Amino acid sequence: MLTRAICFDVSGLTKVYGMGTAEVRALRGVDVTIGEGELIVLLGPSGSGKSTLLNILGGLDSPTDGTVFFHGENMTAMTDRQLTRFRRENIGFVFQNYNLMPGLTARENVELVTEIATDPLPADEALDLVGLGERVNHFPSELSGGEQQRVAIARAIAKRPAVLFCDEPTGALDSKTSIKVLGALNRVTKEMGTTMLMVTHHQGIAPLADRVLHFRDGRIEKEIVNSERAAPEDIRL
Amino acid sequence: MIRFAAMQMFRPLNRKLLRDIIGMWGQVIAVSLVVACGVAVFVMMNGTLASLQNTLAAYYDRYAMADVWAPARRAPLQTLDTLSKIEGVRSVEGRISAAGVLDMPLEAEPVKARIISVPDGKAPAINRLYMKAGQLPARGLEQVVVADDFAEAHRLRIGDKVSATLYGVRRELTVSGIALAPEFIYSIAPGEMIPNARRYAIMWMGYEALAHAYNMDGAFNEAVLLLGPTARVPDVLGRVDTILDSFGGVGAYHRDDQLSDEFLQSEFTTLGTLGGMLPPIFLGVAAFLLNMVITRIVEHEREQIGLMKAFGYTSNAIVWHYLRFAGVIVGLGVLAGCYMGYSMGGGMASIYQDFYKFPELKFAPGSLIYVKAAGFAVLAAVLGVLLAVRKTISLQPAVAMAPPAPTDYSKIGRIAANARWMDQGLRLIVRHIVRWPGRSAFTCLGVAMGMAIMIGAQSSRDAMNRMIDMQFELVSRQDLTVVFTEKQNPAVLHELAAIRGVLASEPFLAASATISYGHKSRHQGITGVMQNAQLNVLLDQTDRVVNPAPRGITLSASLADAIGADLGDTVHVRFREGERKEVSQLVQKIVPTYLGTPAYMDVSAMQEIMQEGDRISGAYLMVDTRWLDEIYSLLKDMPAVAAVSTNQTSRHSMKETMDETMGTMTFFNSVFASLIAIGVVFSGARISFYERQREIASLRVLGFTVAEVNAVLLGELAVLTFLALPLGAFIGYQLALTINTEMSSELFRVPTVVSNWSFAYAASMILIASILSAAVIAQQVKKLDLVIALKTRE
Repeated sequence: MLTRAICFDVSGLTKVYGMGTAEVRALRGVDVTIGEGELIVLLGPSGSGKSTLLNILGGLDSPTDGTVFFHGENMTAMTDRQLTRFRRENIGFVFQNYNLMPGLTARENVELVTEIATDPLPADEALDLVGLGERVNHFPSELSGGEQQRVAIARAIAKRPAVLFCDEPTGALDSKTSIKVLGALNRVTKEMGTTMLMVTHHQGIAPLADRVLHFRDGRIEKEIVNSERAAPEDIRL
Repeated sequence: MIRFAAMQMFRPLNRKLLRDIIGMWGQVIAVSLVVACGVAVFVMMNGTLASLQNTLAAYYDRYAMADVWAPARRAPLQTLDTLSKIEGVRSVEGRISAAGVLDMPLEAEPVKARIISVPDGKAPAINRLYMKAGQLPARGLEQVVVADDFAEAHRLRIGDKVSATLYGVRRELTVSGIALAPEFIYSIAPGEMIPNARRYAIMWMGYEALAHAYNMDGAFNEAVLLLGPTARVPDVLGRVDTILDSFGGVGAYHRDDQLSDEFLQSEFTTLGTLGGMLPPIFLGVAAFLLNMVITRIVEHEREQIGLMKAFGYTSNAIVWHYLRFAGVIVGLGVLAGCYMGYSMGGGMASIYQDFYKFPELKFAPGSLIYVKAAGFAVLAAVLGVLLAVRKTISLQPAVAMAPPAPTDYSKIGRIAANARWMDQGLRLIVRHIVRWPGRSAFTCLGVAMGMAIMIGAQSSRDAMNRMIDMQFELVSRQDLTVVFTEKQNPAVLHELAAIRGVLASEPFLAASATISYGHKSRHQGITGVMQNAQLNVLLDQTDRVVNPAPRGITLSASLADAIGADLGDTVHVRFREGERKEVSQLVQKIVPTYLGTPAYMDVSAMQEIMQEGDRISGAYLMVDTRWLDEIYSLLKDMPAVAAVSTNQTSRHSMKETMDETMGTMTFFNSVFASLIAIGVVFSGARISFYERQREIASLRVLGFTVAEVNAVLLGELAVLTFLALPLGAFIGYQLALTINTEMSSELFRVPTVVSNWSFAYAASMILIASILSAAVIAQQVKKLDLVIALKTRE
């Protein structure tokens, strides 16, 4: 594992929300290193800090203390404009509730990203990769939940991001559809060599990962390294 | 009691209401301001109208404003007995009404004066004077009471001397009093377009002294009559005309045709029109904004509504909750609007007090106006709320508690799908507009209304400018107009032309006449003008100079309309002076005019018909302005000269008055129109921002910059605002047309002119208002917490 180049180097990461009696410590000094091309699953109960870590690494939130280096660059010193550029050039996001633009068709949702990326995949190719080549002209309201999530994945990977962040990507889906979505994620990241961090409640997803980080009370409680990544169709949800 | 109030306050729904209002203070203020504008305009316009009408009625009543005026050349005083016996006549008074010229130290030009006799030793019984200072003239002395505005303009005090030329004789008149009169609330000099107290005086002199000055002993040249409640006006006028016919009667007229009253009534019509037209626009926009705001809240709270219904709250209770929310907004708007309306009404009253001469004009709209304004505002609110809650309230609790389905764009088809030149941001804008056509249309309409009101306000100024330009640049090209005391031999013209500095002169003949066509007739002066005139000309529809027809009569379009005559018709003309000739004349030309209902003839043809030789009534002069003072001084001393008007002064005073009166109105309306635009754009942008927080956050997460996101969010408003500009220009023009048509009367027709500058000004104001609103929303996009926005349930 350590032979991989370092993608993220996180040390002493702390995040505190609110003040005084309303203070919530979401992260309490997290140290972790993430290698390029790794698939990491973050597991843990609600409020354990996994989504907070994801948001900070994705440049959506800033830490209270600690440092995050991305490819040797200190992210904690970045301005809002630099963070926007960082997201634009390096990061793909997939959320539990898809967050598609309801006014754009599947293809147009993907094109939303390809229009601002420097070396994107063609939108149709990205949709082919997630198995939606036939439904490119449908609006989100005409697609099922699983299909919408696959559009979101196509949109996230179309810019060929260095890192893909998935926050509960199967949280709103049934198990059969979830496996389809995970299959799409697995395939595209493997083919493109993308680093992926996936937050989930589902223990069953853990075998897909290179490494599994267990969160509790804002800390990494346990880290499990899988000897090899399971195929999505082999897991049980 | 306090405990009960406290309990009410802390009931959950009341607390929610309070929090909603505090949480949405920006929109609460925006909508309240639009409501306030509507209420303010309503209170200001209708309150001013009511105040003016009430003041006028009381003034007329208390100071015995005449019902009928009957001018004649010279009638013996005994004729008054005959007049008083006409059925329906309550009382009658004879007086002398004469023109004079004053030489005032503060004014280089000769000042025109109208001098009216008052009975010696007692106050007039009809058209009584409101004595502001001093007393009526003493019998036999050359004392005068002067009109208050003239006294003020010339800083005259009791005992001051005024140098006057009366009937060609120079006299020193002593000011014995300062007064106002109900028949001169609005007074303009003959031939002028606007009042000018420096250049026109109304004066009252004792009968004996004035009769002596004008050689009218034992006679009168104007009778004023008060009628009883059952009098039939046309019959009375007919009888008066018959009696005065042999004494040179030039046609009796009713109060409706009296200049001052006619101006006032036309002002009332304008106020009534604006007061009836503008508030519904404001309140309509307010209803729309309330509807938008409440729709957003209701959509946002549909789960809570479902929950409340599940707990057993009735639909009515829920509607009532939202009505109260709207009620707070409207309440704030009504309070602010009433206050604004009252303050502005006070301002309007003082402007009117300067323009119209009332003893006292106070803004006293009466409580009914406020009640009506509040009533209309509440009605707008109820309408806005009911339309907003009707859909959600009818949902079953279980359905309401479930999250709404994602917005379905498939309904509108794949609009813009094949326009490859469009980027996705533009595509989102287009589809969002088409997906909510009603809201888009109303936003567009709201902004357009803001612009239209601004154009409507500006157009009054444009129309006045057009009237002034036409009058002083195209029609009246002369520098001076000289009116003679009596018709003169044309030799006088040579005398005038010989004055040093006079470059050119043209004669004119004016005579009073009755012009009839079919059953309709008008007492109307006819002006005889020269062929190929250079100084004072007639214009056709395209502003080209035309000559009067060599034979026949040329009517103004307004007079032709009034008597129903058209080109080629034959009208009956009865001259009311000189030999009192009656002739039939073919209508040869009809020319447009903005002022009065004039009629023209070729001067030679007119002299031929009147059989008074080649005499003329006055002359137009073009002068070298370097010699102006000398010319004035000579004219003041010429016995034949009754009055001199200067174009430059008239134009200047018109501009000045217009800037004072219209400037204030235009300013108010521009502020209101901007508030409408800000209200609509700001509310629209804010609601769009709330509704689309998830979309905005998604775009930001995908790497869109704040500017790119703003382009999508505010781009829609930019598109709607740009669409609103031509629409606003169109509605604005229609509004101007309606206002001007309503404002037009026989006295003057207001042309509908909207200058390019006015269009540009209105468009710029709308754009500035929109940019300000957008800037506020752009700040909110920048501050948006992406993580929270993405977790918010749709």
